[in-house]
Amino acid sequence: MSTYLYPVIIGIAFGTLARFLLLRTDFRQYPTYPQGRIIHLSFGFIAAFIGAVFVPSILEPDWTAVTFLGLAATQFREVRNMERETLQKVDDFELVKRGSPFIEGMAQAFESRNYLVMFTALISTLLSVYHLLLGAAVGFIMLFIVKKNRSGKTLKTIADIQEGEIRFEGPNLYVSDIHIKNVGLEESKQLILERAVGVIIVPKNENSAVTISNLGQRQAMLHQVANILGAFLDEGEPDFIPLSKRKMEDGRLGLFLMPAERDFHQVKTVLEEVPVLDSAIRLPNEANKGKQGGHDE
Amino acid sequence: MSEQNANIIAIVTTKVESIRGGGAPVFIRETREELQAASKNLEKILDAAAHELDESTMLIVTR
Repeated sequence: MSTYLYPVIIGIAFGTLARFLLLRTDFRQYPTYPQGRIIHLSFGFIAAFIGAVFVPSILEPDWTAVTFLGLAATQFREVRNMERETLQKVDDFELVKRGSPFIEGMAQAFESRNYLVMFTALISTLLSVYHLLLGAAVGFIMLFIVKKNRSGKTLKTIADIQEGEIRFEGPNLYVSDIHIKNVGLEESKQLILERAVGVIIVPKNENSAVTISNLGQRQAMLHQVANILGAFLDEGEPDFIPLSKRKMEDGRLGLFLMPAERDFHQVKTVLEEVPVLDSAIRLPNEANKGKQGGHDE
Repeated sequence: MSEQNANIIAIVTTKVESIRGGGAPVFIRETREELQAASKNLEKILDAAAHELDESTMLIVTR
């Protein structure tokens, strides 16, 4: 029995360490510090434990234990539900909402990270059974891989971000050539001209045009800017709600933003780092739609 | 995303003959300045958005 003690300890250690590395409380203040972190670290520990104990129970072999561990692993689906529920409740009280697709993406990330932890623990335990040092070495490699795969694509890889001019034609607000909305009050118009930042998002290709047209992706951009740069906004002030509108002819996106500080460069930097949501990624280029020689139909 | 239905909950106008029908109360003002002031107050009171239909008419809209 004790032959497996050290391998299991190594597996748990590396698994938990992986969760530490994957857990990052940043400007989003999520997971909330420190309660949210404790929840996720203990979940990570349990996941690492399941992954690590899997190996001895197979090698022994104790199939009852294997069955139960498999069952326990499926329980981590609950993590996603838990995250989704919390985030959605919190979202109701945000001035600029995250939007369900963004929340779904975050919830998925939390779930998948636990599986990564489980996998890390499993691999390092398995190899530790042969040689403790080998297990430790592979554990470090796994940590490296896990850390590298932490984040997905960002907006700058699929689109160019340009400044757009804020202007009015009568009551109609435009960002360059994209119509945003109708503003009736002279006072609001004045404030918008003083404080608003206009951004044009130009998709790099056909695929990204579809991706950035996704309403969840657009809401994620607005949320990110409002979250990091602040928003000149309060409840019951619909004139200043940030908006995104699409130029239907070419798929460009016009963003109307009211950050606390008017500085396009900050806005651009923030927008470049907006994650591309899994649920928004489309690849129409790879579909067969009977397109021949560049002609439609 | 937000639901798409917008409701006109009040109308402010300087040209009352250009409006027919009911549904929303119509506030009549004399000048463009009064029109702006009334729309602004209504916007604040109702937490709604004031939109300009044309020179003489403002719509107060909730979403």
